[in-house]
Amino acid sequence: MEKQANRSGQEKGGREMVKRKLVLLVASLALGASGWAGEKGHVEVVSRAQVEVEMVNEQGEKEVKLVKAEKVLPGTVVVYTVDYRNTGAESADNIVITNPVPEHMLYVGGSAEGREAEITFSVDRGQSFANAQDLRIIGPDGLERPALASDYTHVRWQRLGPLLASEAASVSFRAQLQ
Amino acid sequence: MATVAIPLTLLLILTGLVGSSVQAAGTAAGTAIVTKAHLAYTSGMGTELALDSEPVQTVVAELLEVSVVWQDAAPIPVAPGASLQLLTFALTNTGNGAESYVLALNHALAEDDFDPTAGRVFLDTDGNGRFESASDSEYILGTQTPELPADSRLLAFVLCAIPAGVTDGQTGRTRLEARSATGTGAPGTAFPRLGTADTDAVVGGGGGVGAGVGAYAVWDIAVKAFKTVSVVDPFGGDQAVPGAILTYEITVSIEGSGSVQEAVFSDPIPEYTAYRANTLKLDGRSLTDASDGDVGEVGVSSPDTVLVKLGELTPASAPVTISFEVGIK
Repeated sequence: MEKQANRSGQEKGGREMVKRKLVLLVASLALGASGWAGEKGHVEVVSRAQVEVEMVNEQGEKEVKLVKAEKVLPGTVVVYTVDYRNTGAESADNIVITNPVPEHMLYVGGSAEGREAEITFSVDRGQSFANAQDLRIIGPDGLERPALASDYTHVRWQRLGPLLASEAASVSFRAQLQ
Repeated sequence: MATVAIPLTLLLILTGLVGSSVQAAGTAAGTAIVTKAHLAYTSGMGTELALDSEPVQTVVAELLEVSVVWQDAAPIPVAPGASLQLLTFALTNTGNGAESYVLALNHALAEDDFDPTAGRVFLDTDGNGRFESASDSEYILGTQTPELPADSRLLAFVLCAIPAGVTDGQTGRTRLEARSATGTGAPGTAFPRLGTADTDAVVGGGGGVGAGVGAYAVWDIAVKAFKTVSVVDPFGGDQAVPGAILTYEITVSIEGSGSVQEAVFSDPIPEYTAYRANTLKLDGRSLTDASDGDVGEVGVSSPDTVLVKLGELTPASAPVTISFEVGIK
């Protein structure tokens, strides 16, 4: 609980920073900056939405490749990847990445990946996070039950170690379009 | 912002992978699915920082799927030469975007005995589930139906004529086909920017086509009864006065091309008359009034009613004649 409280305290501080960062982001876009968002010398983050496609290569073998998900049909599983990197000279610590499961989509159970990161989930729109087996929700019948993957509203990755200068990493999850 | 060009063959495989898992309409075509990641960290200087990624957006494509299901529980009974015989079909947009359809009728189907003709189609414009030529608009073959919202259903009424030469027991079938107006083709075929809200339209597992087959069955049999009455009054005349005796004679024959199983002749004794015991005859042979070994009875199964079991009758059967007498009270 103490850790949780501490984390939400960090979040509050973080939110104020977001506002400031957004101003900076707008400024950098106006200057025609690249897709990387963030302050120079710190951590940058980029989201990607992709779908898996099966292709036959020149050797006649089937290969699964990821291509940008521009337009998708109901039932399609989209792979969301968050790439982040440290463009500064100093390491970044306590990295926490949070991604909502988009509206009209259901989280695909067991799909969250992220090396060197502790992965937790939220079923209350990001207010609290817990391990998959500890999540419970109150159903429409008023009874509490273990949460299903389809109940998840947010995925969170807490990086276990620092992100060193020039180091890049990614995390990902999958969600299916309803 | 580099865009990834996806070759058509690749789209085919992509949609082929997901098409089978799509059950109902799903998320509406044109919906934007947007998300962004939030990242918080502590800088080397101990400052807490946070930022969001740029939003990443995916648009829901339109799935072209339609189903046509014949609604009548059993073949519609028709007579030879009948016109405007009704078959009811339900047209359902099982895709995820509003879509119009082009309808077509096909009467020349295998595995039936005759081809219905002169098909006309009406749409259940007033939505009351019944065909009414006054309030349901006629669909002109080759045009497009009004747009049907995703997951919604529209009844189509098909009216056909039955050829004159058909015979009892024969069946004729008519197929109603609906093709997505945006396009049809192999599952996965894409129509870029032609879908609802300018999104891409992609042909679903059904090829963007739905069809249902309805059937007519000829029920061509009619039982004709010709009844005569003769009167003998107590004074040797033919006046229907109290005490007069009326002799009823009914000739039963079958017209058409079918057969009637277990035909039963039933005739109530007229009011103000009384049946005269032991006068029931079939083709001139007497039948007892009791319900017993012969095929006739009077007032046993039903009060004051003459019953004669005629068995199976066909147009080839000779006409049968039933007679009985009553007295005027």
